[in-house]
Amino acid sequence: MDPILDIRNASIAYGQTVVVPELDLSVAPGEFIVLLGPSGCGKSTLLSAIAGLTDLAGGQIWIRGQNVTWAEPKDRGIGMVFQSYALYPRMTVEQNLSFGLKVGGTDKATIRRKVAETAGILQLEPLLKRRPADLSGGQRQRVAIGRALVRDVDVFLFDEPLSNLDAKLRGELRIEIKRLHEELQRTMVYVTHDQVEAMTLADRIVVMKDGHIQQVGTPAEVYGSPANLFVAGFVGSPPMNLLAGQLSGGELALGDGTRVTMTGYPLPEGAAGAAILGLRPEQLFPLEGALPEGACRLDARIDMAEELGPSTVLWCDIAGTRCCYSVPGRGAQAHGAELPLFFYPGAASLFDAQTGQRL
Amino acid sequence: MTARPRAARGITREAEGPRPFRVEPGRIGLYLFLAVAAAFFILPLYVMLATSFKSLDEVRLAQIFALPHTLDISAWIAAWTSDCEPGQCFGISAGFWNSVKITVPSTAISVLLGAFVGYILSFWRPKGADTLFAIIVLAGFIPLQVFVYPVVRAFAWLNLYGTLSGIVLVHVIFSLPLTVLLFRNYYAAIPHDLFQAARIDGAGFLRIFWSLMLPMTGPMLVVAGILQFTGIWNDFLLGLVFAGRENLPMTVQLNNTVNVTFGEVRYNVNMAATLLTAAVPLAAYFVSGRWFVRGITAGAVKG
Amino acid sequence: MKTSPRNGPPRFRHWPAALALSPVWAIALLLFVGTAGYTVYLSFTASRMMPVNEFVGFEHYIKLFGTRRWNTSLANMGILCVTYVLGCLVLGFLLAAALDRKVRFENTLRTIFLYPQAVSFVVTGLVWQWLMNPGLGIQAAVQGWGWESFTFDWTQHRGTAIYAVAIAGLWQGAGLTMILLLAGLRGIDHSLWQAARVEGIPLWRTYVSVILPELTPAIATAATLLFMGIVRTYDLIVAMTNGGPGSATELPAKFIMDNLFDRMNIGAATAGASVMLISVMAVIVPVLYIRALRKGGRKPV
Repeated sequence: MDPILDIRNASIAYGQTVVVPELDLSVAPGEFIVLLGPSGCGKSTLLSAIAGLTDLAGGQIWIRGQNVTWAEPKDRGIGMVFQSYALYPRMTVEQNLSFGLKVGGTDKATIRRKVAETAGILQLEPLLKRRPADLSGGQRQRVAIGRALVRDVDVFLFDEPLSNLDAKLRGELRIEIKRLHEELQRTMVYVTHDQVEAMTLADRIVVMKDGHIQQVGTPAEVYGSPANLFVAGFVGSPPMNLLAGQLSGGELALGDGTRVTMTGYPLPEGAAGAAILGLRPEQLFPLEGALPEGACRLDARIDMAEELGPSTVLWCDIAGTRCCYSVPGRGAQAHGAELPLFFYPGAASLFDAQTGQRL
Repeated sequence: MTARPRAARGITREAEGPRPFRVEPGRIGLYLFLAVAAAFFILPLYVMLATSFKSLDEVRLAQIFALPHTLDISAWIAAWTSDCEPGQCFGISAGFWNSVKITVPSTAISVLLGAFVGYILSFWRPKGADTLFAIIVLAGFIPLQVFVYPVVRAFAWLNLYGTLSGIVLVHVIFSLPLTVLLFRNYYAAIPHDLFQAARIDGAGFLRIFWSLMLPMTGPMLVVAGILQFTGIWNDFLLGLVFAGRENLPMTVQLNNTVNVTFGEVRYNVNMAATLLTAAVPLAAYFVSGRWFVRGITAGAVKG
Repeated sequence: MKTSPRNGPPRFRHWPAALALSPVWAIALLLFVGTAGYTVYLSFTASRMMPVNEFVGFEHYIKLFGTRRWNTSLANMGILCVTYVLGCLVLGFLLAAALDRKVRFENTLRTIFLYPQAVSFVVTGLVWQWLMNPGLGIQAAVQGWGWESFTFDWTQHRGTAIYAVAIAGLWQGAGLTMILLLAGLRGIDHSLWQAARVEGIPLWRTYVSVILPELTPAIATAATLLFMGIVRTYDLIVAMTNGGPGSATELPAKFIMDNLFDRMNIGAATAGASVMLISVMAVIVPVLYIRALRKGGRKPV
């Protein structure tokens, strides 16, 4: 399928400072893409360039097969939901929805029909006569989405729409956006620094750092097989356990001398040298009885337990590195207890210590 | 979903990189407007400066926009030293020194008093503090004409009318609304916990003000100081009524000197005298820049 | 015992504060409330040269509104309310909006637009008196350039002199309005502009439909301020026209001062001052009240 949004070799600069060096990204119709990265990674700048609010320094942006690099935002077929929602404060919800159409010269009957349609989809009918100040955060978000929806845009752009809200509301609105995407089946590009939002919303996550794309993949790929140490550390909470060691002949010698055989891990031919083993907290299991087939043993000394209710995170020392693993339910262990753990090397991650890239 | 045709500007297959630079007519109009506006605002200052350096013969040519042929500073000297009022013969320098004598103590006292009262009203809030604040703020909105006659009577009775201390006191009193408002609002933004902590540490009424609050008030002291200084220097009404013949401030003297209705008008000297009167607050404005702006926006709430 | 919700301890412990505040109370009650009250009191007495206690009721008020000079000054105030206040708001808004469009030399331009705010009204009055002097000012200069029929002699005619005053006032007051509205513009959420651009709203339409409504509080503040400025305008008139030609540029503030100190008519002056007091209160009390209501518990700005 042709991409609906195609970013070709785009670079963005503020004056002499290059914020985003040459970047390529294709988005399929209906896809939910999340641009994820720490602040200052260029994700919002990229979104603003897609919208046409920021000029490119080089490269092109194509939307639905048209080169819109020089087009005004309104001609690009995009709608944008801002962090502050940017609803027109003195207009009612209805006026907010219809303002763009009215100014664009759409006839009144069409405007009425489109506003009614949008209000129906977003369940805004009871709110049409209200002003933004009288709306809850969730209602404001729906109006902001509605404003893009009435204009029949191809691509919805979201600029950190949940970052101003408290944790509870954030969770609720996240679900609402997800439901909307499933209903509308529109292409959405969503910028966030919150990896939980990225994991739950995205069809594909684009992890960015310093303007460079680190990894593009489904949430499962990004979480399960991070492309490099940055992604491994940025995605996941608690973070991935990283154990340094020396790799030779398919065997990893950890700092304290523990030897781990990487059976089942797709190691490239002749990989050797300093390497880092990455293990998600839930990829470590307490060892009871015999070691299962294909598994590898590690010894841990328990340091502290955090009971979260449904699960418990146990902080421990493995081969001189502070690690954690999680067990379902209550799993309190005595401080200082020595405990054998195991993991499946086939599911783990292994990175080159020098380049940080996945092996 | 079907592709809708979009024939919009800027959609071309070969577009790449930044939008091509175009000179927009709106932009040109914008700068044109700003230039005309700037000319309107600069014009009077320019005319004053140009005229003050002209000789009287040149002034008579009535070419106010023309630059002076030669830089003749005799008008400035005349304005400063020997511009004659009827009956009296001294230049604007007397008024200048009077203004200094009035403005400096009035500014210092009114700013410190405002800070002190603002401190009490913000932190200690004794009984009736809000009522007092309301009265003071409201008084700030009322034109001086409403108060001035009874105050003249009271000052005459106290033998303060027409004295230097009298005019300073009048300035301090009628500055109170502005300074109290500025400082009360400034202190309102300081966390009350800080005040509570100081009290728990055993600091008393005066110590908290002197050692804790006043050092934190630096920016507002500067802002209020500049605002008060220019305001008092530029005052005309209070100076005219209260200062007395010996202490007439520069603005009053300027008006008396310039608006004489007989004899030949020496416009170059008049302009020099006017510039000399405006020079001090203008210097304060150009030097302090943002502080001045902060002062008038903060003071604007009151008016 | 009632305790202050903010401070905790009972208020009687605040005696040093209360003591320190007592002179301020004296100033407020005697010099603000007291003098204003005495002014109102005098307006009901037969005072002319000197204050007397003989009560005459509304006599001075009836006379006052039969005085041509006073009525002219009220009419002039009305004219300035339209020309000066509206002029300052329009020019101030245009300047603020222009400076907000990411222009070069923004700081320099702002400094230029605002500097008249730093000079005395006396200076403003004198400068514009000269500029508008037909024999020496702008008119003469433009005629000297060859445009012989050019006239700009507003200060010389009864019908136009007050508009000349409005121009001088505009020169001094537009900068303040600009600064207030610029602060308002800078406080507007930047993404509102972007949202309008994404929707293809033309710039002028964004200003009219989105930005101006957002500026309403700043505009109201500026308008109140400008109105207060007119009410107290005295030195500008004294320096620029001295009320003339005839009484064409008289204003209430000047009328009162003249009657107090030159014409020795305390009754008329205090009656005028009382009218001024009441009209200012009528404007300002509701404004302050609404502002206090709007702010709710929030701290004053």
